[in-house]
Amino acid sequence: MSDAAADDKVWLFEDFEEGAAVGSVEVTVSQDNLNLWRSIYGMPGEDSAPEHLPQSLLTAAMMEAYLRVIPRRPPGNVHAAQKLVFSGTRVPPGAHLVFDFSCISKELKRERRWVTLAMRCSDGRQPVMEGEISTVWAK
Amino acid sequence: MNDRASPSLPASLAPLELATSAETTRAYAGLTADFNPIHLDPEFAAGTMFGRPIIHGTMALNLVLEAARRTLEPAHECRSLDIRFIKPSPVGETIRAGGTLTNAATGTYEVFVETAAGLRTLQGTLIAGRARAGVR
Repeated sequence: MSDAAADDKVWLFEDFEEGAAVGSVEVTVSQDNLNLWRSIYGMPGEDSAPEHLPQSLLTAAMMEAYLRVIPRRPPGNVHAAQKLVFSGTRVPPGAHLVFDFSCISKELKRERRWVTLAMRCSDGRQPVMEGEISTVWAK
Repeated sequence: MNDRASPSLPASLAPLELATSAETTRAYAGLTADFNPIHLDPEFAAGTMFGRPIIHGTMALNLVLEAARRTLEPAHECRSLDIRFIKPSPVGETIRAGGTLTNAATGTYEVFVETAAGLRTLQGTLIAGRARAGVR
């Protein structure tokens, strides 16, 4: 892992290395998370805890993981594109999700710094989802 | 039959709206631990190219997943999503997610999120398939 993983260092474009791991983090989707999700997306009558987490909540957990793995980013980054593939593994509320990020590519295109990270998420036993996060990195 | 395909997939995703606000944006910030002031601080956002706070991109992406969940489940589910963010939505806009089945054989929907004025903020493709009830 790059030295840029230190919490007090801003991740810059130059810090990414194609093919290299960026970091791993565990996220627990808590009752507080469920309540916040429900306040935004909940359906009337959907008050009881779901048997398994909806994909939108898994995606929110992915963003938390991404921001924890790269806590300091240059201002002006733009989340440009997102790919997600869901395995179908059902994840109950309170489960611990493990997210791994690595750098797929970094390239200059039209004077913009594009960084694409691979994301893999498991519940510790089975894959839950994977995807790619493409960002225009500001510096 | 292709495992991902089903003749009974609906022709479109039922449109789903979300009236964004400072309150929903704060809730999403808490949900994702993303407290970037571009989403939350009008004074900070006024000094950016956007001029005012914008919603988190994945708040809109998740509206597509929710539209899919409500339309497709329990028989089907989203298998994959591939989108690009086109433009940001200011906090306070009502956004609407939807999608149209463009290839029943592959379960492909063209999906989007747009503002009340019809401006696309996100678009891409969603692949739906039969729900995998056997998967825990």
